[in-house]
Amino acid sequence: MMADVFTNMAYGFGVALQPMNLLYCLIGVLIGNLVGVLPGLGVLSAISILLPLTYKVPHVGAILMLAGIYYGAQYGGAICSILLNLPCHPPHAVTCLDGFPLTKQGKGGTALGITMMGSFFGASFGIVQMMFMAPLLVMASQQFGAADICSLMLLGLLAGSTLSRGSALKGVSMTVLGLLLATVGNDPQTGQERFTFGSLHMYEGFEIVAIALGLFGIAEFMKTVNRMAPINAAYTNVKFRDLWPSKADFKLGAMPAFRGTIIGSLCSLIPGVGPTIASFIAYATEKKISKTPERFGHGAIEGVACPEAATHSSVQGDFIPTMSLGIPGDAVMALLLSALIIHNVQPGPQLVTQHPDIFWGLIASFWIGNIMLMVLNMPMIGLWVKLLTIPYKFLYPAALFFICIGTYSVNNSLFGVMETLAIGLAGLLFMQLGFQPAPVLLGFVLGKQFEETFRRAVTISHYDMSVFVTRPISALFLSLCVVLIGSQVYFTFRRTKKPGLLTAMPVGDLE
Amino acid sequence: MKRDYYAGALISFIGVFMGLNSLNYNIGNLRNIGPGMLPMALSIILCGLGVLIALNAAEPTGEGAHDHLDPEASKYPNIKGGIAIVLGMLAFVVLTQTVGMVAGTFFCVFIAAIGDKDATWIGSLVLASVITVVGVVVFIYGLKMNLPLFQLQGFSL
Repeated sequence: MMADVFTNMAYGFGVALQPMNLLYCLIGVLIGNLVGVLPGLGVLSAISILLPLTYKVPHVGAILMLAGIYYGAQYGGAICSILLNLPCHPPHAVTCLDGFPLTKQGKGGTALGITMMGSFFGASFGIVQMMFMAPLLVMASQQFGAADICSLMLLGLLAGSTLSRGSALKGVSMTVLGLLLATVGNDPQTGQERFTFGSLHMYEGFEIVAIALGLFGIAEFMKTVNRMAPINAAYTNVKFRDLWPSKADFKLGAMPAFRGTIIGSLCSLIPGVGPTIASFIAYATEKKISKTPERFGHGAIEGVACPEAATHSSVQGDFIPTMSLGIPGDAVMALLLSALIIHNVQPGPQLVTQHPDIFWGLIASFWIGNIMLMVLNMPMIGLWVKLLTIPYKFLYPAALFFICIGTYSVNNSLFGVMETLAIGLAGLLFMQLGFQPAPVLLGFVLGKQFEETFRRAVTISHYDMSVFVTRPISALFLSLCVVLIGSQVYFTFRRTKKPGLLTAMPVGDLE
Repeated sequence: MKRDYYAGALISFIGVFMGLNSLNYNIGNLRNIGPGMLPMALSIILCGLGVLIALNAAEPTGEGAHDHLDPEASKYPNIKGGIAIVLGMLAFVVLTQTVGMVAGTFFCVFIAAIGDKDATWIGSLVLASVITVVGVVVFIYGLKMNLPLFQLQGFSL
């Protein structure tokens, strides 16, 4: 079993080290790092914009690039949080708490250095976890029938909508809305046009890129324009040599990074619990077990090392259920899943055997990408820091154009651009009412598959609905769903009006 | 409190709307699941959720917590900026269709840019020009996308 993994990894490196794939990986992590560094630009938007452009790219390269954006952004995001006290991306909100005080004490470079090392360690752990766990999961899923997969999808959908930030009720309603949106268009099984209202354009249903760019691009811009926090560029003079931490600092940060890594990888195993929650849990845990908790919030190295390590290991672990089972844990994974589908790669347990180049090549590229990011970020830290100070007023009009052209390129249709705008406006309305847009994407991507799997399960069981509870695996997943719903109800009744750690989480476009 | 009433109402409204429309499609029964079954089921769930949301209305807690927005800014999206973005996108669609991509790109960026409260005419002009050049080079020449640079055509969607 162990030997298998190493043979596969050798194969994977063979794929990932091909010059074109190296290039795509590099582009991906570069863009990811850039997106992480620039405040106001999100990972989801970046992936959505590049998604249509990858149609002509061979599928291995496409996935390597899009994935690179995701974990690359985690490196860049730390820079923004520590130096500017601006959490460009939700997973880094908690890094500001101790990162910025450290910057004010003149130790911003040290904070960044510790973060980089912790991040790399966390990412490596997550990758190793994926190397061993993903094949295990695939083996376990050989036993799955259609009913089991259906229940698992339901569990994933519920987890993704209830465990993320904000009201669980609102999260679930967004997921259901996403599922409903997926029914718009031509029903594959009966050929019936649904909800098209006679419009030819809607025959194919909503375009995933339009939904993603509308919700996470347009709506986000409209929410942020003229309301961007002023950038305090006083502390942005960081050079490479500032990054190396002193021995004492290194000692302080090592164990927290390790603990954060463990927490992050545990969190990634639960669908719906993503990097943001992982970073919060890691920070809270570290503070609880610290002998000097009062130092947290005032520049404790531990408070920077552990959440970042947790974020990175969680991000790499996020790929596991998506690549091995085809069940996305959050909106980013949903997008990557749709990228696979667009390239005619069926996600699911058979991905490993049918497309080992994608599977193992991706894992190998994680190593390569993370090393590239370390090399990019540490010596060139001055450059990234300078980029931080680009005013938002230049960023969003440019990004708007990229959104327009990206949406256009999907179907060579300007109607698609209007679709994006309409979705964006609707998304803005929902956000103002307190809804998070991410679960919509989750529901939308899984929608068609869910319906199809459900029909298949019912057909296979000869129209016997009880199959969902009589099959043990399916029953297990369904009972987990019940537990999930039950605990949400329980906590709602128990809830005092005192905001806890989870309610204080930042609003953002990821999760 | 009030916000959640609107939120719940919106969700229920969508549920009712989609549900009524699902009636147009054959719902079928369990033996023969029709195209209308899943939309109807989902619509009913949405209606229920909308009611639950309104019932569970609570003060928005800690949602203004640390993100990239200015804590001192208004709680509502900025109107001028929003309109600029919308007009910019419309400009892209209309102008690209009628006079070509160069004009579409330029005005899309320009109009969106001047919506910013710190925008300057020169800055926006320069930004629009730069992005137009970049856009043409990357998308038309680099990626060989099918968009006319300059043209004269009527408008249709």
